[in-house]
Amino acid sequence: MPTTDQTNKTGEDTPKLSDAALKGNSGSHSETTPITPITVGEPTDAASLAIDQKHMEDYASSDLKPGVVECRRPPKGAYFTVIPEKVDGNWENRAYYFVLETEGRDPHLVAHAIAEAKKDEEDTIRPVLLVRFVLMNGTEGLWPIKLNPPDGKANKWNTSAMNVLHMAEGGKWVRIISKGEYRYNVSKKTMEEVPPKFSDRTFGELVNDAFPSDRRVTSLDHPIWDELANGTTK
Amino acid sequence: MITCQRAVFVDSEFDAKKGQGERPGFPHCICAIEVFPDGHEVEHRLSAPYPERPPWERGDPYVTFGFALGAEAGSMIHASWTLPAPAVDLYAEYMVLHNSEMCRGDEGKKPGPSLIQACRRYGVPTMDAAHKDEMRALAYTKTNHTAEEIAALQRYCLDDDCRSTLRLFRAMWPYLDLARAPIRGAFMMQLERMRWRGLPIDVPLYRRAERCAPAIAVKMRSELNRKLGAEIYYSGVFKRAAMFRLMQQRGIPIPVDPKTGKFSCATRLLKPMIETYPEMKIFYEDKRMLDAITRLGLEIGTDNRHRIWVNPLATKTGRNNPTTKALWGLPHTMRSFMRVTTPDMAIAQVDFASEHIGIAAALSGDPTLMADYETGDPYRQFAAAALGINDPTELQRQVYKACVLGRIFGMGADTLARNLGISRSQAQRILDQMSARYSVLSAWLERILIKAAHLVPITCTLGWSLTASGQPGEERTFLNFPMQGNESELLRLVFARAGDLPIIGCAHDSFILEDHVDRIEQTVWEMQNIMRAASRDLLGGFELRAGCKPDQDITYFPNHFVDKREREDGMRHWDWLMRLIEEAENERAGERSGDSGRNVEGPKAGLRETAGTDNEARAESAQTEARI
Repeated sequence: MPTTDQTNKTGEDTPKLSDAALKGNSGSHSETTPITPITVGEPTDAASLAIDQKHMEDYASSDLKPGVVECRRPPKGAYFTVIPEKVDGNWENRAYYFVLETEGRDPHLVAHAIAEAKKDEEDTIRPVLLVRFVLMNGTEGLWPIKLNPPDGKANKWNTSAMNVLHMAEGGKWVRIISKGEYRYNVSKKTMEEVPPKFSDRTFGELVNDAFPSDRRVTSLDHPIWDELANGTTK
Repeated sequence: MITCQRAVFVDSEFDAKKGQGERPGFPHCICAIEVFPDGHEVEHRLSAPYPERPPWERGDPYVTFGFALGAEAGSMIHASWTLPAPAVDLYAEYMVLHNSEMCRGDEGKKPGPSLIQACRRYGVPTMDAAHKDEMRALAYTKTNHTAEEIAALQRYCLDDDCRSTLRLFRAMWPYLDLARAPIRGAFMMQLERMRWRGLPIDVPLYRRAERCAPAIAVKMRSELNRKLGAEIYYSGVFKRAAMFRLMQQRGIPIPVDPKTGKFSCATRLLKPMIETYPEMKIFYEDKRMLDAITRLGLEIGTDNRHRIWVNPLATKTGRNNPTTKALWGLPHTMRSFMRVTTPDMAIAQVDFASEHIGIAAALSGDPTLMADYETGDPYRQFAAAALGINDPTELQRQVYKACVLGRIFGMGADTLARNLGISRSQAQRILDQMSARYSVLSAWLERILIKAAHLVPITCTLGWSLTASGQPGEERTFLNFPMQGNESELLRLVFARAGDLPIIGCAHDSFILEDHVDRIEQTVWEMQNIMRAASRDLLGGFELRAGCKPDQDITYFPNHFVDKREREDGMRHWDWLMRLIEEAENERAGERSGDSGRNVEGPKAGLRETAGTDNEARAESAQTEARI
């Protein structure tokens, strides 16, 4: 006869957790919360329980708030793609802008009228094609592609950048490689395998995020002109 | 998924027989708190003789909770109970939840918590440590307990351990991943079953090695000095400066330890160089054997089987981390102390082939690497493609293998150049070739680093995760973490599913099984199927190869187990060790006969007998294979 001693005991008799014990564990269940019924997994379920490792790709995952938008060339080593524009329609995800770029400073967006007024005295202002892109991991950005000058003298960096853009808008994941000009790798992953995760923000919203008000030059009183004329210790 | 109407919090008291190589002692008591949906509880206090099945087993599903359930598994095996499923081990879950926290600091990962420590971490009231020590002492030091002592142990087991586990569960509950926890729970219990079985050891031979260890070490040092033509050991002490001097003289680059930034000749840093520099191969292999022979300490039970706690989940990647006292902690050249000791039994080794690369291919989705893995030899494929030839030499294959593995471990051109004895530009060219061939893998590795740098947890397939702490040099950890972490997840899933198979040992990518001669091949086949299915389930359908060549990887009585690498090396090191044992014994016998005039033939004859048995065994094995 086994010496099994079974004593019935109700949950109400169990000692209560002290306040101190519960402090710092706001999610804790109190001693009176029923434990069962409780649903747990089984080793046979592993295929459905396996955490999809695609999360390695998307540290900016969809359940996170969209991050800061940067106006810069897509980073080397990361595959990106762009949204193609309709041939006979208005562009929705790219546009020409004037950008003032100086070393060590974030780029500034310059209003057309101001760029027109300053174009003869400032060679830091250039027209660019701002193109919306997204990396495989879901990070969005704006790629400022410099334009060849109107006199027809092409710059191979500018030209090759446009070639990369055309490749990307053909529904490919591409990666920029800088070797005397822009070259590219095309990922073997297709758009079906890794669908691009463009956010639902509009192109205009992205531009506003990339260029906050202090980096939009809409007047000749903007502090940037003083900095360029007289220098700054910043 | 399974919904359980009852939860059972279980614990037992027994003598763990730590460090003795024995099975755990028979349980003095097994206690449990059974919780019903209405909050109603039933307390169970059991002691020997135990019923055929636990009283809470009533045919309907229930979930078992415990803390370090391996211990309870041992008690249940003693009681001839079926191991419960599903089961959740709060120790394992603590390790999953707090891995990153435990890895912070300069001293490596902190050891896993006791139940008291885990309770304190969650602010749960628990027992007094002194009381626990007192009860443990009572459980460990006696077998013939009085009725009062058994009652005291039951009170402690139920009111302290089971009740603390229940409270800890309530505190951890909001954070627990109950979908995947039962896989870890099953793994923890199956590990105990593996330990219960133990590895059969050729104890007479092992004891001889142990007895002769000091003399063998002296001879090994002297022979190593001779082989290298330099006095790197002086008066029994390793002279690092002499080793550095030797390396400089031979034009061998001295590695820098990434952790300290200083020059080092640690064997772990020299290992990647051994295929390039023959002197380093000699040094690496002999030094590891020498270090092992000076600290031999296998824990072997009275049944001549080696048992050790594998310290599950103890590394940051979730791998087991047994001490160097484990057979698997010895250099592969010395694992032949394991031997089939019963005529009707056999031992088999089954491993995941090129597991690291297979997982990298599957997770990155690199189609070229996946295709190369599926050919059976990804390194040969890469070498052939890079060199533009059909049939690369073994040396060329080794170079490109070093590159692929090195890149995954975060190796740069300088290190690759040093390891392969080539120029930096040549090394860079090979790395560029790799980036071009496996561009998806390369981009994936870079993205992992980006993710880690953003302090986002890198999470493996069953939830094991690690978050960066910002310490220098962490990049290498994170480049490698998805592979090692998922290897560990795979190991756990295989254990959870292979509970019916007689596993007696494991490394991170391989399993040792022991079964009857007439069943061993069937057992291997079943194990391979479980391993392949587990890899498919975790890797999105990509199947890893589960390798076992019956003619090489199955060992029959009375042979010693032979590691694949040692076999490929012609048993050179093992034979060397046997020779050193013989010499040491002869010298000993000679000394004794000089002292007392005793005949020295005894020990020599004994050794010849062993060697003869081995040779006969090999011949017999060949015959068996021919029959198969």
